[in-house]
This record gives sequence, structure tokens and C-alpha cells, in this order.
Amino acid sequence: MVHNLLPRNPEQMLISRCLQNDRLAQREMYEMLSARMFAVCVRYIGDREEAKDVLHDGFITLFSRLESFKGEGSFEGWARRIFVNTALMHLRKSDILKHSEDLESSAADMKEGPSVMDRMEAAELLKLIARMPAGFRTVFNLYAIEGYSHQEIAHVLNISEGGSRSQLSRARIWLKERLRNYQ
Amino acid sequence: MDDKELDKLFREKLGSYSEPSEDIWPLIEASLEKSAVVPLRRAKFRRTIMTIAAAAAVAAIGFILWVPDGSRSGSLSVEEHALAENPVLSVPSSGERTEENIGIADTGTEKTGYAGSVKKTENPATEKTSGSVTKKDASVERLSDQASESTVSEDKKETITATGSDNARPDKPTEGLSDKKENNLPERTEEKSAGKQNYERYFLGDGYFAENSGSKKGKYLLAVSSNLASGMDKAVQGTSIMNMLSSGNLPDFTSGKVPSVERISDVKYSMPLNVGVQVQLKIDSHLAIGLGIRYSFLQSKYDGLINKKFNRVKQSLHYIGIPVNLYAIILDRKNFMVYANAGGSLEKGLRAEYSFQSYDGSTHASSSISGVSYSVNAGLGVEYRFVPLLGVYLQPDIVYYFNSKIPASIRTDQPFQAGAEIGFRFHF
Repeated sequence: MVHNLLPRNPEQMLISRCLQNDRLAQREMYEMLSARMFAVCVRYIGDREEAKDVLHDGFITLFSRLESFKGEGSFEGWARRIFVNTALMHLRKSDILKHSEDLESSAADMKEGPSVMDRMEAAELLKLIARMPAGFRTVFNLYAIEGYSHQEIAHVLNISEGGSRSQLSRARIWLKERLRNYQ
Repeated sequence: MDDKELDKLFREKLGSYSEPSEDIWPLIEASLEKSAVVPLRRAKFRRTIMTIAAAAAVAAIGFILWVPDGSRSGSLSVEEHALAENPVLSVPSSGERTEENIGIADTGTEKTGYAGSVKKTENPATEKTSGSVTKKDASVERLSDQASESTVSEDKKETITATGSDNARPDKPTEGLSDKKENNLPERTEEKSAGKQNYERYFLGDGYFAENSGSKKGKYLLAVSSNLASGMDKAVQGTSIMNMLSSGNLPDFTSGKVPSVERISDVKYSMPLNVGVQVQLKIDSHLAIGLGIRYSFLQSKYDGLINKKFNRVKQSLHYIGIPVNLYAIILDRKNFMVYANAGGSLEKGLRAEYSFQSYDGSTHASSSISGVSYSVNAGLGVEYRFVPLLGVYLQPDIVYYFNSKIPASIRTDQPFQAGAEIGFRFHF
């Protein structure tokens, strides 16, 4: 991982201390990541209480796999993937992904302009996503925010690519519908 | 807003968004403490194993380096006394034979350097001839000096140092028997050293040496192996022939004394057996160091004449050693691993045992093995792990033995050896 002779930045030093089971260093890493990772958990899980459980499991997984971080790429990006996977595992256990909400309204383009969306704070958008059905929410998070392809989503969620596209389309419709009502 | 704009908006707003939450660090810390118990137990277990291994290695090193050599003091066994009193070579009682001996000495290889170690038998019956023998000894010694200096001196050195005796021996072969009789223990020590050395020099070991090695994937690895080295069935052609002259006295088998032997066949070596255990400590993901204890057994046979009677002679050598190796993983896959290793070994001889079988009976003799031997080795290995905690490995390697104070064997005749070992590795 960080076995090199070059001078190490503060992040690398923190990681090294965490690898030595330094509780203070681990607490420091928790403080550094918890807020952003909790947002990720809420985005996927929806329920805040359940998101706390996922946050807890995510940090346990992160500390146990810290040795596998090779130093390539952003550490936060690496940590984010761990929390995303932890959230997905939680969803699989709950079989939430197997249930999808039928859309009451037909697909329609949102007529409201970008100004509506601009007015919405991130916290409100987060709440909106949290209310989305689990299947829609998961695919939308993976595609629109994490940047996964439909092929990758299909592999991760063990669904077909067509199913991934369908879920994404429905998620967008659902969001547009709710945003229309936001006015 | 189209779909792309929608995605982009959520991505920009929520991609790096932070949502404060209730502090759950105490729960995380408790879980970490709980999960640390198991690794702690494993760490303690590993420390215990390493401590035991280190203590065993220190004890073995101490034994190898400081165990007293039985030939240095009056701690000879009955068998060793027999050897001392009846050295391999007898001094010729006639001038002609002396010349023969000289001739042999002149042709000397390291094996024939025995001429420098000609000794008089401590036999009262030969006392009469001792005077002439003394003279001849002097001439033998002078002529020996004229022979290849390197051969003779080397042989003399070997003779002197083989058993670690500090007593000068062949320098004064002209000492009378009476002197020898008066100088009991030191003389015996000298003669025994030469006699033993001469015995030992005719036993050449061939073959392969079992090594223990361990290769590991886990942090700690316990390796148990035996050497099935590739065949090195070599019958070494001995070039020195011990000239035995009948003194008119028959060997006394009943007293356990070992008579002198005239070898009449090539020496053949049995497959060496090495068994041991090694513990390996992982330095990082690609390097590990191994420390172990190894027992080695070497055996050889040849035919010889004892007082003109045919005997089958067998030598068995027992060694204990400490191998230390560095391992570098070249390829690491799920079930198999390829690695390279290099290191060395320190070995101490425990015991040398001899048996002499003839048509009407057998006799036995034994002695300690003085000195410490060193070797270096390098090789490549492959391990297949058929269950998570247990794997089998094959490791061809090459070994070079330094000719330190060890009995003559294939290790001294052919210090550069090639072989292979197989064994099991336990991962924990």
C-alpha cells in the first residue's frame, strides 16, 4: 500500500496510523469521512436509521480492508466505493431491489426549467431521492451520480442491462414528477 | 430539462454532499475492539511459535558451537579408545614396505596423504621392531616431506585438525613406544585423531541432502519436509589404499577394538535423509525469512579387508543443522505460488557409527564428529495449496558445502550439489 520511500502526505500518514490500529487515527478518519459517507448511505438506503447501520458497517469494512488501498487514485473515491457496496449489500439482504413501484403517471418531460432545480438545496434533493423506490433509487444513484454504465449496474445488481435502463427511465420520470410538484 | 441535465444536476449537488449524522463512533470503536480480539489471539499464537522457534534455534546453535568434542579430553568411549589404540594404518616393519608407502605417498592425492599420518601401533608385540620402525619413520617422514608438500601438509593439517585436537601428531613419529606408553591420553588423542581421520576419509558420501524449506503465503508458515533429492548414487573411486601389514597379531574382536581396514571396493552412498521443521516470517507481501532445524542422515558402504578377511563396512553419519533462508514470491495465485529462495545452513555432526560385517560376525564402532560445517543454497520452488491451510511444494535447488572440519564425504569431494526437496507447508 504505502510501502514507498517517498515523503508521505498527511493522508498517507493517517492511513498508516490507522493500519497500526491507532484508535485516535481511526477516529480522525471517521470524522473526516462520516458526513460525506452518511450522505451516500442515505442516498441508497433512504431511511436514516438504516443508513446509520450501513455507515457503521461501512467503516468496519473500510478499516478491515484499508491494507488493500494501493495509493492509486483518490482515497475518498476508494472509500466511497466501499460504502456504496456496503449499501448495496444491505439492499440485497432486504430484497428491496426486487420490489418496484408502479408509476402512476406516464413518462413526460419535465416542463419546469432549470431554475426550479437550482433553487433546491442539496439537502432537499437528498430527501427527494431518499423517498424514491429502492429499485429506482439504486439504479439512478449508480448511473447518474456514481457514473456506472448499464453493463456495470447489471453486473453489480445481477439484473439485465435492459432492466437497468428501464429502472433508470422510471427513476427519472419519478423525479420529474416530484419536482413538478415542488413548485 | 432533459435526462442528461437532470443527471448532471443531481450529480453536482449530491456528488460531494455531506450530511451530518448522529455520532456513531462509539459503536464503531466497540466493533473494532471486538474484531481485534481474534487477530490478537492469532498474533499471540504467532509470537509463541516464533519464540519457541527462536529458543530452539538458539539452543541448536549453542549445541553446534559449544558442545565439547569428545576427542579433546579423556571422554572417549570404549569404541573410540579401540580406534585410538588401533589406528587405521600400521607402520611397515620392513624397509621395502616403507618404500612402498613412500611411493604411495608420492602419488598422493588428498586421500593418499595418509602417508603423513603413518603411526605406529601401540602393540607390545611390535616393540621389537619399533626401533627399526623409528628409523624408518624418520626416513618416511623425510621422504614424505619431499613429496608433494601441499598434499602431505594438507593431509597433515587435516589429520591434525579433523578432530580438533591441539596436539601435534605426525611431526614426531619417531617417538618410541615407551614414550607413547607413558603419554597415555595425549598420545591416544593424537593416534585416535589420525586413525579416526583415516577412517573418515574413506567414507565418501554422495547424494542429495534433504532440506527443509517452507514457503508461505500467510504471515507465518510451518514447513515439514523431507528430502527426496534427485538421485546422486555415486560410487566414489577411492584412490588411497591403506597398506596393512600383518604384525602377526590377530584382531581382537572380542574386546570391541576395531582393526585396520584395507578398502578394496568403491564407496557407495545411500540416499541422504533430511527431516526438519521450519517457521517462516513474512517481511512484506513478497518477502519472507525462514528459520528451521534439520536432522540429516548420511550413509555409505564399501568392502574392505581386515587382517585379510573380507568385511562389509558401513558408515552412518548423523547431523543437526539450522537452515536460514530468504524467500521471494515470484508468482502468487489462488492455489499455487512460485518463489525463489536463497540462504545457508550451519550443521554440527552428532555421531559417526561404523559397522563391520564378515562371514563370521560383526563389530561396531562409533565416534563423535568434530567441527561445524557450512553451506549456502539457492533454488526455485512451486507450491500448490489444495486446502486453505495446507499445501505441498517442490523445490529444486543447488547447494555448496564449504570444506570445514567435517568427515570426508561427498560434501567434501563434490561441494557443489544439485537436488530437490518436497514437503508440506502449513499456513496459519
